[in-house]
Amino acid sequence: MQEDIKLAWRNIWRNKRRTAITMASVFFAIYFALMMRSMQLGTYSHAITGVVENYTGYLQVHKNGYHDEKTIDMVMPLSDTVMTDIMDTGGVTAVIPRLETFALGASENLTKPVMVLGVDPDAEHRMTKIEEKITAGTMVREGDNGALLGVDLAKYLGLGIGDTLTMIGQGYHGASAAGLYVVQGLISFSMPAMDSRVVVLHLSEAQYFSSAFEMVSSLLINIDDPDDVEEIQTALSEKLGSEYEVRTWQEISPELVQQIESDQAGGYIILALLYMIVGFGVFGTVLMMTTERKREFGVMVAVGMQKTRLSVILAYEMMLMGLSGIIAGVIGSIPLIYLMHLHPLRFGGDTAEMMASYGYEAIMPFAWQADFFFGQAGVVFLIFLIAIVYPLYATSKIKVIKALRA
Amino acid sequence: MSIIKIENLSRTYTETEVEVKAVNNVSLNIDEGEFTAIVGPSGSGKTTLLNMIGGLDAPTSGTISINGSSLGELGGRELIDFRLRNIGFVFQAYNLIPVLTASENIEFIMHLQGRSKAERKSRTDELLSAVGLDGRGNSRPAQLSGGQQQRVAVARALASKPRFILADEPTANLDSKSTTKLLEIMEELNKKENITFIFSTHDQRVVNKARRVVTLEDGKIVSDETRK
Repeated sequence: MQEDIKLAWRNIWRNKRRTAITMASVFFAIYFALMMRSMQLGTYSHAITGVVENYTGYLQVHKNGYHDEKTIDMVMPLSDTVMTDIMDTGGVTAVIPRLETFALGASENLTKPVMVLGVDPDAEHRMTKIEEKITAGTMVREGDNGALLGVDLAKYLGLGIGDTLTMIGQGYHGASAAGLYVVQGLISFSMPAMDSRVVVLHLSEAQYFSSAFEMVSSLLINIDDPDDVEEIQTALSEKLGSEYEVRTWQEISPELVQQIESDQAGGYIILALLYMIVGFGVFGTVLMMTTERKREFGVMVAVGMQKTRLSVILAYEMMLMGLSGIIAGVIGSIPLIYLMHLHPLRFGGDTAEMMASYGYEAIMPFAWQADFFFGQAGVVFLIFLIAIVYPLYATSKIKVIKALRA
Repeated sequence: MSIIKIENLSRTYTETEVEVKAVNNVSLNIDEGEFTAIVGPSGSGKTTLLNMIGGLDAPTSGTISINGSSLGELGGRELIDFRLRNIGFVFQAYNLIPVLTASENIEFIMHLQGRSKAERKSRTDELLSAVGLDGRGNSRPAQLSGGQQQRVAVARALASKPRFILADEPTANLDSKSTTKLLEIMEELNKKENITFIFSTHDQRVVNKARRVVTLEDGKIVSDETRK
């Protein structure tokens, strides 16, 4: 085997320029594929983290039907039994209550529809680190007649700390909801869609505002392994019964899932094109390597080399060439990917605005995880394995006499 | 004692519109230790006959037995293995593996036979010395002259300790000096080690050295002369 690998290694360098071009094409394919994939996965991960860990939780429990009809009338009592049942479920690390409703927010001259978010500050902070999102002022506490405004909402309404926000809306079971709140702070969820419309109140204040006393609209659940989300959903559904619905973050934020899927599809098309170009390049090299050495193959078989062994040497040649390019591509891409992972690109100006309009924060983080390195390397290696089929076929069909005359 | 027995051997090519009988009902016995030249004009069937003896081409009819084994009865893998253990080849165009050094080209055959590294090394040194290429073992084929390459090819053919060597026009690409040197080496190996050589050739210098000359014309043996 060692001798065969030595022969294969020498064979691939008999035409240095061609081998260098083939390896370079693999190197650049891997390099760009990894950069692109890392950027994509990093962006998705950032978006998912932003939505899931900062806002929705991995799972939510609602009154059955709330998901399809998000009105204040679909709230449910905050039950200690339910909370305990949820916490006792395997994989669940935290559960927090929330009351969400909608209202019209107004400053002196401007109005805007707002989402009222009633939270238990301490529990909320444990799960979503909400206090770290406060950019100015202080967190709302029980008894405060204050509110935190999303930074973009405050900007739109022209309100600052100490100013008064007026809200009017519909309360539980037809009650009127109205209130005046002192702007106690500003908050940024790094999600423009939230920052432009959220008003955070203490849970009890939100319940009072909407006359939904001791009620919540959602129980947010965090879990220790995101891959277990569906398993835990099933367990909770069975445990809580038909009175409640248990929804995953994908069901709660389908638009995020769709955005990721459509972006992934675009990425896959680009990757497919990249790999197709590499594939043709590799196949061209294989074709040349096989055709120009027909006579040599004939000699080898004539003097006593079995065709299978000749095939193995050719397979080694392809694998050595492929692996060299792949390893170089992976090693070459690591420093930049890691750097971009630690220090994501931050956009400004028009780009930032455009990204914000799509609901993304204007940064481009890179993912740093082993699986996509192996994934991309695996795809290119697969291309080489497919390309090996031709020389294997060609050697199996070799006619010594014809080959010697080639 | 005959090591090669050829009986009623024919090879007809039908690939073209005109059927060509390259070898036509040839019967021939070759004994161990012979130094035989197969001669004849171009297209007389020399190379075809050599290819069939070497198991590289299959006859249309007739049989070839080598040391009692009928080549026609061997399957593809068996035939390749048979060549590896029994036949040495020397080609007109040398056909050394360009990425291997002279030593490695010689070792290559022994490596295929599964011989130990030490045995390979010792036999390679011995053969390089026998063909007058001491000190050139690390040269790649491209660094050697045509004559030197052909001597390496002879050493490679001998490396497997074959029962006989088939040499197809071995001197066709060589100058006079290289031809003389090569023939001296092969003659010496034939006499000293009793290795059987069978050449196909146009070269009168090879014919002059041969102790048996088989002449082919239109695929048939027209003369078979043994010299002392």
